[in-house]
Amino acid sequence: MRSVSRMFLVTVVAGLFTGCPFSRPAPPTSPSSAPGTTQTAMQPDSAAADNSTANGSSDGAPAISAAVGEPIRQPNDKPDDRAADPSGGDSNAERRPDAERLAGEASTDPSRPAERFLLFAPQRPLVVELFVRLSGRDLEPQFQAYLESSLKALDSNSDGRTSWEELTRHPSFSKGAFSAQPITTEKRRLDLIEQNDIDRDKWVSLQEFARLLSREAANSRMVTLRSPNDGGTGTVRDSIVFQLLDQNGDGQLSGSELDQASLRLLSKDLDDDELVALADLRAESATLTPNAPMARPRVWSAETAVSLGWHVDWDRVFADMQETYALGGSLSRDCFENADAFFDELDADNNGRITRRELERLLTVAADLRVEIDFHATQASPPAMEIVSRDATLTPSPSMGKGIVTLCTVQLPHLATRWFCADRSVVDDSQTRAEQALAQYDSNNDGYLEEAELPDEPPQVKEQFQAADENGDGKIYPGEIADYFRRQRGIASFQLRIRLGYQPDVVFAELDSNANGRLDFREIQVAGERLAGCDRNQDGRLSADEFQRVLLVSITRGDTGPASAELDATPLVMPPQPASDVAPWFRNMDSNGDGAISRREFLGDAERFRELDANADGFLDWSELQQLSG
Amino acid sequence: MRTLPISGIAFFLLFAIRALLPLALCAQGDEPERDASREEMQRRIAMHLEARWTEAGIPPAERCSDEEFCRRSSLDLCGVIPRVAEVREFLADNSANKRSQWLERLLASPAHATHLASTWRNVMLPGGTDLEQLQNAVGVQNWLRAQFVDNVRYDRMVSELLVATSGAEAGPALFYTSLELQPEKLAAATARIFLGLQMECAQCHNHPFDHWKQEDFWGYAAFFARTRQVRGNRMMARLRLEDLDSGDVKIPNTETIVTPKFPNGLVAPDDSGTRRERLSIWMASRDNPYLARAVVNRVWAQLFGRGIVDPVDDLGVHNPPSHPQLLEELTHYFVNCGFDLRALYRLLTGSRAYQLSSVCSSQREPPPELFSRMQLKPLSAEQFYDSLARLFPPSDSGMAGIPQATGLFNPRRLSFLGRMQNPSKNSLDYQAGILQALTLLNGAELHSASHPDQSSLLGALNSPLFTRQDRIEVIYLATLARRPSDEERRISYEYLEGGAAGDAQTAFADLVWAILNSAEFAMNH
Repeated sequence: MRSVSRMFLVTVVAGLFTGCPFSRPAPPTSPSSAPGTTQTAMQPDSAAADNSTANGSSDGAPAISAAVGEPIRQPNDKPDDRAADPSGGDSNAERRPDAERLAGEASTDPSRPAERFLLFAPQRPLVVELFVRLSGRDLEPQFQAYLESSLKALDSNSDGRTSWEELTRHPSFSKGAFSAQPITTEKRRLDLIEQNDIDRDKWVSLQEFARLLSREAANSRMVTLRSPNDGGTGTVRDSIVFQLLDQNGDGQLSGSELDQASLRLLSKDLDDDELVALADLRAESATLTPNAPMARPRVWSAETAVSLGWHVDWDRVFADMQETYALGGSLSRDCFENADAFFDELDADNNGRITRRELERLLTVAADLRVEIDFHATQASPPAMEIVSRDATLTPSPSMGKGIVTLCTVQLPHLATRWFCADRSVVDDSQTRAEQALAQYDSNNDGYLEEAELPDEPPQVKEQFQAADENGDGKIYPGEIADYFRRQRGIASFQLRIRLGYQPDVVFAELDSNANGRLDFREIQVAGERLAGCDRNQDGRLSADEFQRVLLVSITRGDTGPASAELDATPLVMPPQPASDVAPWFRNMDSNGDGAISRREFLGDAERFRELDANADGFLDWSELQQLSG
Repeated sequence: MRTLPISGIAFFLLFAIRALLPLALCAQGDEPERDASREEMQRRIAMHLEARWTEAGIPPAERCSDEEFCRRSSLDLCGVIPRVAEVREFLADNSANKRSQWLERLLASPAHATHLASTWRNVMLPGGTDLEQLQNAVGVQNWLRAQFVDNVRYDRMVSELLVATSGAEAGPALFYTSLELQPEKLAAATARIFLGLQMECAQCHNHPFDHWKQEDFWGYAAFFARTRQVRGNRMMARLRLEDLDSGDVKIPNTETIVTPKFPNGLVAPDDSGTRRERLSIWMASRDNPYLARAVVNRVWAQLFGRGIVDPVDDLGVHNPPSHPQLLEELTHYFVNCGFDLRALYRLLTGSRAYQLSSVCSSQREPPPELFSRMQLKPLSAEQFYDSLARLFPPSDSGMAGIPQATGLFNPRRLSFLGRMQNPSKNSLDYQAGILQALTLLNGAELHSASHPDQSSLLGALNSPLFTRQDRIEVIYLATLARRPSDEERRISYEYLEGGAAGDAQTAFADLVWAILNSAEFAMNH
């Protein structure tokens, strides 16, 4: 099933991420901003303010963020989304002055995290806090400001409030602006009001508006966290590359199998372009459509991470913790390792066990990892990201940024984590998506889409067609489709999506030294040696336990695609070298896009190639050719 | 005591040697032995063909040039034109056995396995690029490619295809479902593809030309009567087939149940195993004279444009081969090589007949079944697109990097194939109409391959590494796998300097466009 507005999360560009990331030592860094405020954030008093709001007090500022950020429970919500809406009784008029107050407060108090979540790491759970800024200012007030200004624009009779009638009758709204579904019939309009006017007061609250814009309950929040658990467990057992190299199937890679590694990998180069992508390897082993998730049996497993907001389903968290650390038993001190301080903080009554009640203290304990991100508003530089660990033994690497993605790695005990931060809102790929949609549906190849060419299922597709068809002539050209996608991006630039998942193929990740999702020729050539280097116990054989799992965390701003299982299972990659760095002719000659011109790709004669190949490695890098372009 | 006459013994020995000589070839020995037997077989191919040339009084064409050989073999074995660097290297090589080394490289490249897989897939699933069929196509393609990469024995491959049930053999199972698991369709398809027998005429009545009766057809179809798809309870459950214990076919409009019968007339012994298993055993056995002969003829047709028997899937008595002795000897060779497809390709592409030029030396066109010159084979739609794709702009992997669907699922490739696919089974016969002509002249693919700003070839040439003369040469090498002649150089240079096109980049673009629209590019010559 293909939806016109689907978009993949993978950003693919060759990076320069050489060397094994896990062995790079990095000096522990602390934020250059005043350490005092940092400490303040982690102290119980401000956290207590957060906590008190959880108890339903209507303090002005935090209550508003709760009102805006949390959707009211709907029957089809996940249990995580259950919210006790503390300010359900407030009227709209009362909220707005509080929002202004909040905006004012937040800009001077940078220490409230945008998101706080619990990460189920192997030895003990970690509390992670995320601080996000947009061009130096907090994201949350900007999110609310956007909602307010949009809502104000729909206030037709300018009486200071927007009713559902005004909203649904407003011309720009009914045509599908603000990423809402277009309204074509009166019944549809009434249905829309029915579905979205949660408190039945006929006025549009910010919260209802946010939910309407995102079309999905989960996406009306500023930050959404997903940790899908059907992408595999990320162990070597799931690794296609391991199975490919393990010719005799004994679960270990012997020396002779490693010697053959390069040849085996090259035989999977389907189109003979000296590149092997994970998708090519997967395509050979899975024969269903490439867009379908791999048909592996669904194993129930605990979540990888759980959001710690006001709406936490503590029963579920407790069950997950028991499952993960105590094999279903009770949580005692020896379930965890290196976690004495953590255990003491939680175990309030000192009885040696953590009960479900005590687990709620997770809302207030000091965070173990603090992630600070600053998104710039322009395309010029990748977002700035910094990770600080409370535990001095964990040393996050300095972040590397390329294009719109920044990567930072943190080596936890028994688990390597890679944190990707991407800013997709600066990228306008509406035209490309429009062309893809055209290629997909234009069956008579006449350059535009008519309603008859679109599938009947799902019904949203035809509705989107009508929304895109602004001039109502029954045809939509790529330009109109692109404009439609652009209109949909409005709210997404203020929203964050956090996704966690295990690297599906750890052996592939080990070989892919520049983390761009493909193995180019040079990486394949050294595959055998690189894997041999992973032989920790030096016994000449590589067994499954000598590979570490890798957890990928992506924090994306401006992602407009629907959240779906397939996107979540796609591994994250570093973007390629920005096009501006190399001359166009170099990029054109480098037909497989791996950043170097191989002998086969070179268009001149062999003699010239040898002259230019300064380091005689069989490849021409841009550095070897740069002087020509002067 | 009776003694046999001496002359009788001598006659018998001579007969035996003559009959057994092909068997001695292609012994499973070590490499020098195999090389020797291959060369011997190539000599015999030449001998058989020459016999008919002298009989018809037609001189054969010249040996093809290196450029022709390079491009032709690359298209036939790998489905795409060779790269500039590869052509340069081949033409510069002076060693005596460079052609066989070049062939070895092609046979070992991963593109060869992919090309074989797609060729066979097109044979097995002739439905084309319909989106619904695409799932089946991908499954079959992947399975076939895995077989070809490992160079699995052909008889074993066909056996496995026939008994496929599920799991790793989801490819072959998809072949079954594409034919809706109906015994008569499966019988007709497998007979045609693997045995080279067109039995489907005998479905409703006795075959008009051949000797097949209705009972023969339905006896063969009976082998597929007990195969069913397992209906899982999950939407995305893997496809599984199973064989039941009951199920039979009847001759249409009668109540006569037909028991399974092999095409050579023998009744299948009713011992252990499902019907499909019994069929697959017979398929690979020596009792089956059709399998090896059909595939040898098919490979010959792929390489020479026309089979020794034409059409390739109709090896009946009403359709005699052009060189019957040659076909027999090739079949024996193939069987004794262990049904090794790679060895067969190696044998045929190394033969003198394959390396004849396509230039016709005599006034009147020689009949194609004499193979006195290499036939002009139009590029298939897939070969054309993949060769053109070398010139496309580098994939748009910008900041947002939406991964383009690659390979079979590439939407551009699919739409191109949809427009240009040759509906005829005969690869020599391409019916081009208005749609195909306009696609080439004005279509998006040719546009992006020859546009001054988009084409990767033109973009790469726009570098300080190349002079203008260099660029002309590279353009010819990249498209036609040869250097331009002096005359062509002169014309191009004049066009360039003349300024008719505006700037130099546009002039080069015009040159590329002209070449891509020429017959020389669109033909495998």
